[in-house]
Amino acid sequence: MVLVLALGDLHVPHRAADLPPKFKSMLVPGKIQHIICTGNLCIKEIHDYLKTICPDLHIVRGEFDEDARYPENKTLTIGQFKLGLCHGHQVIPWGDLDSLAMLQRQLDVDILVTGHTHQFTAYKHEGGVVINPGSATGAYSSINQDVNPSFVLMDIDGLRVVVYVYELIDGEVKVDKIDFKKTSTTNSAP
Amino acid sequence: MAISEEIQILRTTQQDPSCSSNSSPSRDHRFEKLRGVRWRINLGILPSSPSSTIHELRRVTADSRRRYAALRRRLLIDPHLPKKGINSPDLTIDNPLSQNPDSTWGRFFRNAELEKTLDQDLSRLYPEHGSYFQSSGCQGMLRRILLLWCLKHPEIGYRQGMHELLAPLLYVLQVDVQYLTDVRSNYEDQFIDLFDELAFQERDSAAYDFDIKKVLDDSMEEEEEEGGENGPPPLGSAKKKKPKSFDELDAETQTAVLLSDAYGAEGELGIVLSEKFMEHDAYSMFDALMYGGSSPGSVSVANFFVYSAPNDSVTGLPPVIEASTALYHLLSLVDASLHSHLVELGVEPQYFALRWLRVLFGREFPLNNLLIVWDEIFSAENSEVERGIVEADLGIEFRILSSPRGALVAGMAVSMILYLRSSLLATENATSSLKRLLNFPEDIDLSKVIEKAKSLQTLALEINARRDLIPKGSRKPTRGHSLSVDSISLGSSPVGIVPESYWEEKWRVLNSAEEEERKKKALQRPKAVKKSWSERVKLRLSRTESDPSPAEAIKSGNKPPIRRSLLDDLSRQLGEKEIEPPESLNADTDIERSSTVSESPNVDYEDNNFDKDRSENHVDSPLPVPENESQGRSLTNVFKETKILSGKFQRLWRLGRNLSGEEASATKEAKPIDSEDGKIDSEDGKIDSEDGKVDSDSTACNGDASKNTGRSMLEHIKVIESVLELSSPENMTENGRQTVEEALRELRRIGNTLLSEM
Repeated sequence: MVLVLALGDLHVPHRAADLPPKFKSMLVPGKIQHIICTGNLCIKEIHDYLKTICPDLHIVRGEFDEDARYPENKTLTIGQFKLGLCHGHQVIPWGDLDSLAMLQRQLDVDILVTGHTHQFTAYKHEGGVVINPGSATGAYSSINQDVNPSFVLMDIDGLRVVVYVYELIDGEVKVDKIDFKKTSTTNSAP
Repeated sequence: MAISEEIQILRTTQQDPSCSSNSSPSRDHRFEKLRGVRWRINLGILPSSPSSTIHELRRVTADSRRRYAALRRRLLIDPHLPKKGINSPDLTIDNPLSQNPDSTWGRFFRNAELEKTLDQDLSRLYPEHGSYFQSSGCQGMLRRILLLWCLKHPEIGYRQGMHELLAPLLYVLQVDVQYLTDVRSNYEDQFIDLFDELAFQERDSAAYDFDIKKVLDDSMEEEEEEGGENGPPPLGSAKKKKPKSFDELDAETQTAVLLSDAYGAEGELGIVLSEKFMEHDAYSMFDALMYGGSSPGSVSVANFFVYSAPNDSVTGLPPVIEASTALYHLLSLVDASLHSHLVELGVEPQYFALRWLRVLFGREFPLNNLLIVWDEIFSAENSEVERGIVEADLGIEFRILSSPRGALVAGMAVSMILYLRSSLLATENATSSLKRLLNFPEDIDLSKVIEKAKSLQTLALEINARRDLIPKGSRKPTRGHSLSVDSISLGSSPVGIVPESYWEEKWRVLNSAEEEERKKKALQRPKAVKKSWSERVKLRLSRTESDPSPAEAIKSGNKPPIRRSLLDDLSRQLGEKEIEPPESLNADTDIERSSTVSESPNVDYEDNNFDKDRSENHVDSPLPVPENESQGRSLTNVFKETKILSGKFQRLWRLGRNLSGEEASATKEAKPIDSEDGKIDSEDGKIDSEDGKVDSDSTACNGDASKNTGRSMLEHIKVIESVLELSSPENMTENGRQTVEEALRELRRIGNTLLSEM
């Protein structure tokens, strides 16, 4: 019963002032065990704010991040699942499923989380899942001006992961969910 | 396995439960060895009438288990499982981050919070019996039970201490199951279907006679519920015991067999001693304990966890505070000195009673003793005692005392306090008292404590029954002080007395003392005779005619010194008394000291009546005096002397008052008179013994102290008396004078100490 929050591309303060208040009211400390962030926060204040929601925070570097110490890619294991994290501006064409699948195979993960397109997508692909949580603030991107704020919450329970998508459409929070079951257990390498 | 070993050890070390149970006519003696069943009957889960059959017991058990299972299914939620009847749950409500309190996720998170709190307590439960209580199975059961109970009763929620109430209940059930396993291993044949083996044996024998009777016998036997426990029945093993038929078994084993019969009423669900359903049973026991009775007087331990006062309470205090006050009230009736000592130190009852009551003494006794204590508590009836004549509007002041069980709990607590009496009286401050109270010693004679508790229980019930005799206004207890008011109204006397009533009381006593004294004029001085304390008080007060000292008895019969006239009640005319007294008191020594001494008596007590009357006496006494005065005694001397003496007798009076207030035992009262006799003989020895007596004051408790001071004062007075009567003031020997001086000095000193005390 592990809850993992995936979000990114906030672009605070350059392109957006803050998270939408409805999102902020939902993100209370204590419920979430991990946060994975695709990058482009951009400032330390957002980093601190995310730390208050959950102390276990994983961030990768986006092109506008002011902290240069974040890594480019990251992998972590939560429960039975291996998760991979990358901002996505490195993968060209941006948001292309096959290219992302290449990255997934390269990182050898079950779930790959990338951003940069500011568009929510979730694909089941070759025994794995590729998720793009979109932009949590609804900041504009170079390819898309009209962006709905969105983020993703994953509920990892044994061999099953339920992906909840929270989108702010016309001022209302809409929730959707996707089920995904892993076929085989991973052998934890010593 | 470790669990059963642990339980075996605990069982062998515990005392035989049946020895502590008293036989009441309505008690069911069927389940002596099965504590779990007994407790379930006592707590009201199983039918309690002795005539209920095993069949009924099984039905009730099954019902309570069904209820628990339904509760569990309802409240223990797994958010992943789709809710019944809802095909597509509304995701805006049912997502994990939803703020909606109705969402399953919301409830899930709340339960998780509660479980975290529970785990904190459970991980520290009974570490000394950790191999059972800390095992994951047991912990899981405890956690689930507590979680469900708290969810069912959200008004109380979870409070620390509930887990300690639950643990022994579960333990007791486990012991029963263990017992059942033992019985099984002894009487395997009762539990196993022997069809196969029988057929095998039959085949072995010459002809395959189908012995109908034997098969029928076998079919009565129980099928083993969990075959894995004892292993498969040993086929044709040599160690097979001779198969007994059911009726040959002793009653206890029969009961055990029937209770665990898988073919009986309700099938497996009805097996009363069942390992599978221990959780269910423990839950019902816990629920019954927490919400015990329907009547307001019964003990519902849940009430002790509530912080606010219930609506219909007379006192407006939270129940646990009220119960603690009841404890102190009971203690004040039984042992006023200890009670006043504790109140003086500022030890409020709820400091220690909170823990005692909330966990029903679970923390004070080791587990084995606790089970015995709970045996007693549970066997007491939990319904309110009928109090016929009482008017409805009087209400119940101390709820806890209204039911036998509550009274026993209170009695148990008071008996524990009394057990620690000597160490408590020795403490100097509240902290050390609390330390003693909260660390109850381990090696105690439990049966004695329980016996005392039972006697206190009857006392408590009696008090409650007489509660209607108390005027309502005085019944509202606030902290501390009103306790003494209550006890006064009930007849005992602690510190903090209202002055006026005291003096009036004394007045009345002395009046009656006068009457008595007149009647007793002809009485010879009793030696070593047990008197009623009131008589003795009068004796002391009117020491005149009944001459205590043998030395004086040698002389003429009635030698009333001036004291007597003074002391004699103020309603009496001085004139009718003998007039010789003034002569005998012409001690020069007195005159010298009179100036200083005369101050003190006047300072002592402001009682207008007394002053008035005393002045009357003063006026009266000198009048007859000058007539008889042979030597040149000045009026002032007499005045002063009378004043001195009146002061002394005032003190004496006061002593008498104190003594009348306390419950003086007859023997104690007789003793001082004896000792006084013996001591008058040697004048020197007197002073020493008096000193010794005064010294002993400091070590005795209040009651004894005042008695001792009273005694010593009386002795001093006797000294003076005897000396003065032995020799006339003029030719008083030097020795005699010194003696008198010293005695007077002592008297003054005692008086001053008394003054400073009060």
